Amino acid sequence: MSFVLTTALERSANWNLPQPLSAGVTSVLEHMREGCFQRSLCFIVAATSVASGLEVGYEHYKGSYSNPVMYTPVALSGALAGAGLAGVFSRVAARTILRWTSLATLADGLVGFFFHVRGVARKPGGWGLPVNNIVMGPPIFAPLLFATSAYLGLLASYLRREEDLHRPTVQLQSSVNSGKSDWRAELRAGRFQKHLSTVTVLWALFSGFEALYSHYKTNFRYKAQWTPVLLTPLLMAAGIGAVKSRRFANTALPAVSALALADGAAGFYYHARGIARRPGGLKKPMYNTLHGPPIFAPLLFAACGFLGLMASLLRREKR
Amino acid sequence: MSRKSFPLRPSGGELRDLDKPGYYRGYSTLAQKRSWDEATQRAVRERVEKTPPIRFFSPEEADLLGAVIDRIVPQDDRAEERTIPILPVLDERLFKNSLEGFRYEDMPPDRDAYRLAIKAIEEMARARFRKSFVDLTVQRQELILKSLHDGKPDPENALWRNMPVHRFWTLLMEDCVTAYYSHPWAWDEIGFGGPAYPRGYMRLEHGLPEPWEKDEERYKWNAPVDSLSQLEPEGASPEHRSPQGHGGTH
Repeated sequence: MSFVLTTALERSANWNLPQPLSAGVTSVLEHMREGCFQRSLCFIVAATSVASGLEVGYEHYKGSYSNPVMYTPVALSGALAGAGLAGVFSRVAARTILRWTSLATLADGLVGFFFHVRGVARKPGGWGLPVNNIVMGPPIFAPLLFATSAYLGLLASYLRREEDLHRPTVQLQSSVNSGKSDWRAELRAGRFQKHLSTVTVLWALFSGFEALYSHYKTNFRYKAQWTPVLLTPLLMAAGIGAVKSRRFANTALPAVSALALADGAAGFYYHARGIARRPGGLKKPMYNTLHGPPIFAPLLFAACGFLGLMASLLRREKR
Repeated sequence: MSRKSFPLRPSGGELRDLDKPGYYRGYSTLAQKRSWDEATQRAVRERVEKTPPIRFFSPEEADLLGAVIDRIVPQDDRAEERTIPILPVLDERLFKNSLEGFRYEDMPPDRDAYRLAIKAIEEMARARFRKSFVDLTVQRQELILKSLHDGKPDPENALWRNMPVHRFWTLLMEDCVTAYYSHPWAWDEIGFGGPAYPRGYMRLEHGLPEPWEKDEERYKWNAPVDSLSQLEPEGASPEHRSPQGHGGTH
């Protein structure tokens, strides 16, 4: 029998943790495996959209909201945070409001991507000076990264709630109704490991590229600025491996993802320190947050790690 | 008679043996022309490829002023084919009579000022050394120019009563520096990036270098042994030292 991450974690929890804790870990892992974590994911969606809403709020403030469309992500992330919170408490809200808000926010991310590509093209020299204009223009992949929480919200809207774990009726009903190859049924059963690994690969590409050019902008002053750039190909390779092999999904993917998560957390600290170290420091919090290192950007990289970890705790698709 | 006196490197060898003067070995501003727009590229290219002909000055005047400029901006550290044209640019300006838009009330118009100064310098050379200015040695030429720089023409010449020496000196200096440092080869020498449009700058804080910038590689060099400007570094008299402080640097 090959190494399975959840089994190993459960065994380790049983050995090393006292009774109530180990039971908690086991039940969390079971909930994840079975796709019964709608409430938790809704909460995460609410939290991440608050962060990404703040980020897009001040970044677009820097761009002085020159186009009214720049207000949409700010408004939508507020709405998504609200919908996520509603989803924590209400099954209906999670399946309706959260789903539609997430879809709208995802679409907004795509629209924003178009506008950012156009923004680079409109800078003097356009795509003829790709390096300068990507570095100095609108952050090209940021709208897609902004859609991370919306994507999680969409996933959450198809999951089962925690209390559904031992209600076989719902599960049976859905698999009888739709057949086992239906993606909705697989989501409800927590069988979307390959899918989430693919998404991890894409997201790692986007946020790694953002890290690459914005750290290039400051000439890699600190060696730590190389870490997200170096972790990105590793994370992408682990993600691709996880799509192909179950073994990868249980070993390399969680390992690299945990590294990325830790790196994002460290980056968050470094960026916060960078802001505090600017002239005026914390006495000018607004100004220095606006013009210093982007405070929430490392968390977007950490979000890739989070996606990867989540993927490694799920079950694989039956197909 | 030596037309030029060579600045030397203490390690041996002349500065002109370097591929170019300055502390930025291998750096070329023109190599970045793809990041400029069409009009800018054309303007810069013409500075290299199209040296305007001498049309304003007579051949004799051009010879003399050329000798003066050779002493003011010596290009002894440049190979012959990489010499930056200064006289042709000045001639072009006077030929087109393109002026700065203002004139000191005690100064004649630029065209007359140059003609007057050329005549005065030639008369000074003949009065002091009994030779034409262009035929003097480097050191004798510098003695005459140094007296102008100091604002005390030696020997006295009646022509300078028509225009203040220090104002003419500033005019000449500005023309020389403008012509020299608008040439891309001078940009290579000082590591300047050239026109910033449309590329602009990306490393805006902490004095970080732009990607195209090259690190300075300093080396020591000795001024020519007969150079007069080394004798009194603060030799310029205060009344004609410019507020920017470049009065004493030549």
